[in-house]
Amino acid sequence: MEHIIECKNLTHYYGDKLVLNNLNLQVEKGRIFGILGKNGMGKTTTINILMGFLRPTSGQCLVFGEESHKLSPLTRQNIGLLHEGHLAYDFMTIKQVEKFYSQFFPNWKPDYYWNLIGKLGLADNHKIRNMSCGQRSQVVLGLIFAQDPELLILDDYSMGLDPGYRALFIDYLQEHVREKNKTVFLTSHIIQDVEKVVDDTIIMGYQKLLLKMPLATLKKSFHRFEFRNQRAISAIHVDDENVTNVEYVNDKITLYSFKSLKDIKVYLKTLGIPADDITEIPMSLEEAFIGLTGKY
Amino acid sequence: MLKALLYKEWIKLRWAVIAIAVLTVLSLAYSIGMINYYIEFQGALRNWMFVISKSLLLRNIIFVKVLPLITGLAFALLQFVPEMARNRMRLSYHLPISEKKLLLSSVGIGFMFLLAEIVFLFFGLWLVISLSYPVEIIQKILISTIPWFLGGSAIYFLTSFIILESSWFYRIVYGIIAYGLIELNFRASVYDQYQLLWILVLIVAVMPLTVLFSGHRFRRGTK
Amino acid sequence: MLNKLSRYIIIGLIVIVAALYLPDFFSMLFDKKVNKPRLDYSAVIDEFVIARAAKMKKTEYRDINGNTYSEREFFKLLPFTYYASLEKWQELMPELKGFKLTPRNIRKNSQFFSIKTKYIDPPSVPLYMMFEAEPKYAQLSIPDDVFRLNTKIEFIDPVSNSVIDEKSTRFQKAMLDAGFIFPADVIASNPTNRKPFDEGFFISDAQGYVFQLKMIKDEAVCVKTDIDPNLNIRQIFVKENLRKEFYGWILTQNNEVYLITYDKYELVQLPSTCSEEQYNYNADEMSYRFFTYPINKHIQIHGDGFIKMMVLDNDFQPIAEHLETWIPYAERPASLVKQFIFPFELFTYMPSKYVKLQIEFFWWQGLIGIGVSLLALVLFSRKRPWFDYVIVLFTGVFGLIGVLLIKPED
Repeated sequence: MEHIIECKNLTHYYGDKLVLNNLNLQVEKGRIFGILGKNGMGKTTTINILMGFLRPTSGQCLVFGEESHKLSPLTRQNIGLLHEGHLAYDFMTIKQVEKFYSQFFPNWKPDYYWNLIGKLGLADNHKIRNMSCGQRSQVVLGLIFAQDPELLILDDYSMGLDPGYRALFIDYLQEHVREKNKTVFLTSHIIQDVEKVVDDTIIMGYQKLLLKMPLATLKKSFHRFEFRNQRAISAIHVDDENVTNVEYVNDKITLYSFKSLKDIKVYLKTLGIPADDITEIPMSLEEAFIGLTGKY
Repeated sequence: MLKALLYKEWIKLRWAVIAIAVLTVLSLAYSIGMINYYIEFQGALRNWMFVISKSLLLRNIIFVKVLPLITGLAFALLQFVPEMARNRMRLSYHLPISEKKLLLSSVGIGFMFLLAEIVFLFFGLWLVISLSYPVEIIQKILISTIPWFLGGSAIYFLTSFIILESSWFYRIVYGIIAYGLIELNFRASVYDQYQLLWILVLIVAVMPLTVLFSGHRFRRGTK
Repeated sequence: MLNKLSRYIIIGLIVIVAALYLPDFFSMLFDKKVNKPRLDYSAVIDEFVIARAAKMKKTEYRDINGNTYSEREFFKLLPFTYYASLEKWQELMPELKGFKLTPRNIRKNSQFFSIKTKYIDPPSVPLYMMFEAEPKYAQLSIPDDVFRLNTKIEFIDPVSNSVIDEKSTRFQKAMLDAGFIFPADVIASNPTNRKPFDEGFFISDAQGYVFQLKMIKDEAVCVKTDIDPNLNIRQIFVKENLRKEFYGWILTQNNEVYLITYDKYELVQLPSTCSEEQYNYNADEMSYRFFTYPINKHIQIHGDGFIKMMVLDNDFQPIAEHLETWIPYAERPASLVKQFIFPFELFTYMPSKYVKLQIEFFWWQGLIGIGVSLLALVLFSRKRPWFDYVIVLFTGVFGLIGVLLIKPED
């Protein structure tokens, strides 16, 4: 399988502060890859490195086989970037921005752009500066589609979008990339949207990778258990094998684990903690995400 | 691609280009009025003598000193502040064109517009003073304006360089340097006072290259 | 590669600005002003006298034999200089060496000029004004036209900004008739109407001959003088004075000074050299002052750290000379320290009226500053591109500031 993106032992410090610790990841052609994580866990750092705006302290990040901080112009032609906040040349109009970009890309597909823009119902000479965030996101997406790159890197595409535009964005993206077998790398903090589109996910935690699996698998294999036991408080500790996360509220104990109910019962028994009332509480994906990354 | 960059810079600069051109025309027209008023008021010969011995004209054509400065500053601000606001420069750096070519072209295009304004001003001034003064005075005046044009060019290049830098500490250091380098072009008080003017030309000529370091630091993410 | 070049250009610009401002700033902060003494020659006691600003703004008056004077006594020693005050105090002596001392008499028999570097070939517009030498009115009046003079002479009417053919032809003819060979070289006049009369222009021609060109009753009068065409004239100065002793004076490329005397344009050479070579007059750095008083003539050469004064009698024969020195700028503590800190300095100041970016190296002292800068770089900031060291090696503390401020990327 061809790896469009490959990061090896990616490590980055801001001054003395370690933000990325030996991150390894690969994105295969045709996949939609999502990177999730709370703020401050290195999501932005990773995408900055990937987009070529930050040089990692050590390790390597290859995009189409080239180091991301010195991509050749030709390779850049094949990468569509959506920057955080849907950055656009907001001093240009709808028409000007299309005219500008079209001259850089030999495979420029104006129809993709105009189809998307047509739905906004704005005049051609409407300045991007005067658009709502949602409208701007459509312009930016239209430009990326028209560029027709092999790889799309989307940084927090959902930020500032109301639910309607978010859905619209996802619909278009999905349709476009699935149909044309494009590769997508995206970050988001809204997990429900990601759930619908991504094939592979990594969830980033403090200085480490928390998880690397498809979200469907996460939903199936990650469990939440609750029981009440005054004595057990602070007797259960997070370990990577059995307990992924634990929360206490009064005498209520909530456990998160990849183990089944049966295995957990056995585990608690070995610790000598009686938990006869233990039950599994089903989770939405968002709850699973929070369970995995912690509330704080 | 150069055409596209030209298009983008033109969108940012066009109103300023027109405004400065209008301002230039107005200033030139005003200076015709001023010169005629002085000639009328002082008498032609007396006015010539003031122009010759007291560098009177240099003081009456302050706009030739100021316009290139305003133009250089305005063009640099208009071109690069929108690019640096909210890190928009990332859009440009991702264009399929090398970062060096991008930066030098952008600065080159802006300078071209500046140069066009300067040439317009220069020939306009030439025309204006040749209406009332002999070749000796014209020559001295025109030579005297060269350092001012260098100052305008310097402020353009250095402002661009400062804006494209993303760290405030560096910007302040650069600002101090820029002041010193621009001031160097404004040390004359009478006609044709500079000797070895080509050294100043040389100093201004290397300035465009400074933007590369700002761009490089931006790409590396150094703050 | 280009990114590195870009960084070094920025460092280079920092070096330029630092070398332009820091040494200046340093001098401004630390250099103490040295008050130049006033040197004069008393015809009363036939001795050099000095007035020097001492502490507390008080001035100390003495002669070179060490006698001190009060201000009033000092003034009395110099009646030709302070006659106005002395007259007011009624202390002007009636007569000195047979010369009657009255303010009017002194004024009438005194004349002064100086040659400063900024007077020599200053930036100027090569257009000139010819006065009518025998005007209708009591005062000289401003003419109606100006003229240019190089390969020919052309009068221009400022109202129409066009050449006045007829007058130009007349003057051209007069000059050619006098033997003038165009183009003109040195052109000198005293372009003011606030003078008692007009002597027109002194012009040297293509072969070095000096001509006097005047306008009398609207006619050109051109006289070829006998001034040696091989004099190598640098500048001629014209100054009309009722004493009519000399038309003006000439400075040559060899730093000689001559008076052009009435009526036959005979030259009188004024002394401009002396036994110690470093005090010889050099027009590029020093100023030359000439005073003619009723009973003698003074010459002063002012340089950085010295005044050389010579006294001549009325036949230009030397009577006395004196050298007064003080610590020149380059040897003052602030300047010495400056030379150790900075390897060189940039400046645009010229003693002449031009602006020119120049460099002055502080040779061996500068090397010490460079050494310290290099050491500082090695000790406090390791792992640098080798070229950073080269920069500091050549530009010392300026380069050090540059390479420390602008960190290498890569």
